Amino acid sequence: MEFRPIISAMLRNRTGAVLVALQVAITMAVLVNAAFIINDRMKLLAQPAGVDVDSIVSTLIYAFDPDYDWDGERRQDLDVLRNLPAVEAATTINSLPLSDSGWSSGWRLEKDKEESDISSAMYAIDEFGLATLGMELLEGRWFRADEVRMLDLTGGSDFVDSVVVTESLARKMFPDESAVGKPLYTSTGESVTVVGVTSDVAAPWPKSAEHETGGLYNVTFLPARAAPPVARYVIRAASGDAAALAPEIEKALTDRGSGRVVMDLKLHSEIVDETYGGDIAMIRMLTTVIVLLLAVTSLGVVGLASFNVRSRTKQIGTRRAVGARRRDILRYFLVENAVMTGIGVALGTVLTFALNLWLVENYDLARLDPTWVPLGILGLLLLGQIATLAPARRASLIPPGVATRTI
Amino acid sequence: MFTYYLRLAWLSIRRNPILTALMVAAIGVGIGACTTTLTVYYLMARDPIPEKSDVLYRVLVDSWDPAEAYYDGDQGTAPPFMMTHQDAVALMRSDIPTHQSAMYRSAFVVESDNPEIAPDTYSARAAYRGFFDMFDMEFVFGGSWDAAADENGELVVVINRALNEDLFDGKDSVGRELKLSGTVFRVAGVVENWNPIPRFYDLNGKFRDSASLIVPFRTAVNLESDINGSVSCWKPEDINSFADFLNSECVWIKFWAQLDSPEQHAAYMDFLNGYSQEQKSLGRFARPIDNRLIDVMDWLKFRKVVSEDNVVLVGLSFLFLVVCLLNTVGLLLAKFIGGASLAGIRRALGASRAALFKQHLVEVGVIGLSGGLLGLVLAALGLKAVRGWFEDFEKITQLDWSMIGLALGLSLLASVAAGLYPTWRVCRIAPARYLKTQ
Repeated sequence: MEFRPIISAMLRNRTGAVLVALQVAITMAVLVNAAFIINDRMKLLAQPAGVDVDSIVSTLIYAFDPDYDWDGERRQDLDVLRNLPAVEAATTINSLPLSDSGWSSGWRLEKDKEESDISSAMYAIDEFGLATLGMELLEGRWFRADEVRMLDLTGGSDFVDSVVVTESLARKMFPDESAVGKPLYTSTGESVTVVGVTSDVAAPWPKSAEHETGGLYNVTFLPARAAPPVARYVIRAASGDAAALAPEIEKALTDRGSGRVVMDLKLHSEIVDETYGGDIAMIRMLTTVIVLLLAVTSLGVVGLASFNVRSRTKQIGTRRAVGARRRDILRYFLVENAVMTGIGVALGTVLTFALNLWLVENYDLARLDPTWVPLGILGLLLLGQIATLAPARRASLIPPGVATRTI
Repeated sequence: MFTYYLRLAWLSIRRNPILTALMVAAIGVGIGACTTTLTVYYLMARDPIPEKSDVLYRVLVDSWDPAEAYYDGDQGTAPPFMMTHQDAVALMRSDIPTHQSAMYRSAFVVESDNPEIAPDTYSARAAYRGFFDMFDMEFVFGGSWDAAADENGELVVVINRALNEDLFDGKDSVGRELKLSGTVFRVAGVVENWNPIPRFYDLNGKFRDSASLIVPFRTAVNLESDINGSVSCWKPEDINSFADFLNSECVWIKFWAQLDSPEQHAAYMDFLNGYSQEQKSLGRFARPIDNRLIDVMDWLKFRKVVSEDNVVLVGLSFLFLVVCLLNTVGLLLAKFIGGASLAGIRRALGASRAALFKQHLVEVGVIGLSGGLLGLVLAALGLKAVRGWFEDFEKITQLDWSMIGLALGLSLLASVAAGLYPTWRVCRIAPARYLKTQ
């Protein structure tokens, strides 16, 4: 193997090698850390909503006419919606999973306890809620129509009697037994009975759920509907494609009655995207940076290798004339790049951890999983080889005659 | 001489178009990435009300749960960011601040007399008249309501210019009637559209527009207008009516005060502490007294208006620029050494090293500035892409002259930094060596 001549040639022209190595090192540090952050955000985005996000659309009804028949209009609205052939089910709810805005409260497992035992997101929903959101009923039953009452979240009404909780919340409150039939107490001592357990549904706050409720899937459903003036309807498309349904819903609701404004008609997928807005932007920006970085670095490698090939034409010719084969020339350039990139990734490993350390210390980012580093090393070595291939091939095609002709 | 060097640079660029294009592209994407992230950062981090930001204070009083602090995070503990209704009303009685206002965000459905305008919801701010003076709002027509309106909760409203255009064709609408969610209000004034970025006085929707409607705080509360913002409660209380809610320990009101002098600041702090003491004797405020007056920029910093993601992006994009520059150094070196024979001839014909140095630096500058221009185009495209992703980014993705200047300056600086070493190398060339091979 011709390591020695490669090294000594490099030592004669250090600048080029140092530049490539430095470029590779910084590229690696940025690449690995950016990819790691992207992966972290992807995991956040992948948290299941527990409801079929793509088939749900929601809208707000804002009543402004003092004579508006709040209950009657709502009933008729929902009847009209449910009778649309494209609609599978419709309900009212106070806020939606992963919508970043909602209501949380604490439950006490014993009456008159000072502190609440567990905190939960609260969804006020009616008897059609299960069919609309589409989660699974694992135990007990869903709400009956006669249980649903008007609930003003800032007060002014009796509390509900029954609740349905998610599997996660049920298991946290009653680890060893069924939650169905168990009483729960509010901070003011009102008691409710758990009548059913559903599969997990996400709370509204994917990023602060730990802080708000101690878990993204700590969720309670209350059989309640909103007090005037604002109500939210949720509609599930029979076809599973809410986008196609949205215009029809808007028309059906605007055509019905006056004295209210129909607003914020949105696909649930849009709402979830807004919640994750900053994270999606971060993923896209970092992906752009990674792509550009790899492009710039590989172009740099191509540029330097091409320059070397050009300036060494005579030497290559000479080597060919004294017996070097084409593939020896090819290998020379590939090995030369591997050595430079190798130094680069060695330095890059240190830089990668240093950059991660800085990010962890100063910003709320996760510590790097070390298995990402060998991946970065392999990737950059491969990139270097691929980038060198074309100039190296050109070098290998230099005819031996060049040497004799120009001397 | 400079134009001669420019011509030489042009010739040299023409000789190696691909290598030159690569360099311009490398500097361009590096500058483009940095300008994009810096613009977002700069617009997020800027002072939204520079002429007064050091005399406007967010007022926090600690009415929270004796068992735990409202905020306990990486910046220590803090009292609630918002206020209870009873505290806000009590603090409004102080005459120490130059201006002050309790406020919250609400919404009304606006019904116009004009049948062609369908009823629609508009955001509203419930505030005291101090709001207008405190934030230096300019009136197009009329003025703020009087103290009696604040006191009695009169049905008056101030609308912004945009809404006045929509409803009244931009004409003087003072005294006109406006139906808000079924209640008839009288227009007291029209204010200039004012959308500070970030919306420092209410960070729920920090990059969104300010409200179209401003109504007296008392009026909004009397109408039990919707609270479009956070409500946080800690105390188990029976809340069975809006009146119960107003008397509860729930916090939901934002409070700002203007304190022009250190004496005023000290006097107001004394007043707040006295108030806390008084509340303690009434059985409230069980936590240690921890009242805060936080000025605009400190408030934005505390609430992390510039997200950490943004700082990280700026950092990473500058590292990216470094990679682009290393790349450029390599390419310049290749180019200059490749053209060394020409340099050798010029030296042999009598050009001094300094002249060669200047000539090459001019070439580097031309490449750098071209890269900077390309970078600006790329940044404009990048910002457009970011803006297209989310409506909230609309206001923080606008290139302005200072960013354009910064981008061009940065590209020139960066390219000259990148060009110094290659230029130095080419100037040290012994002319004889290159003359020989010709």
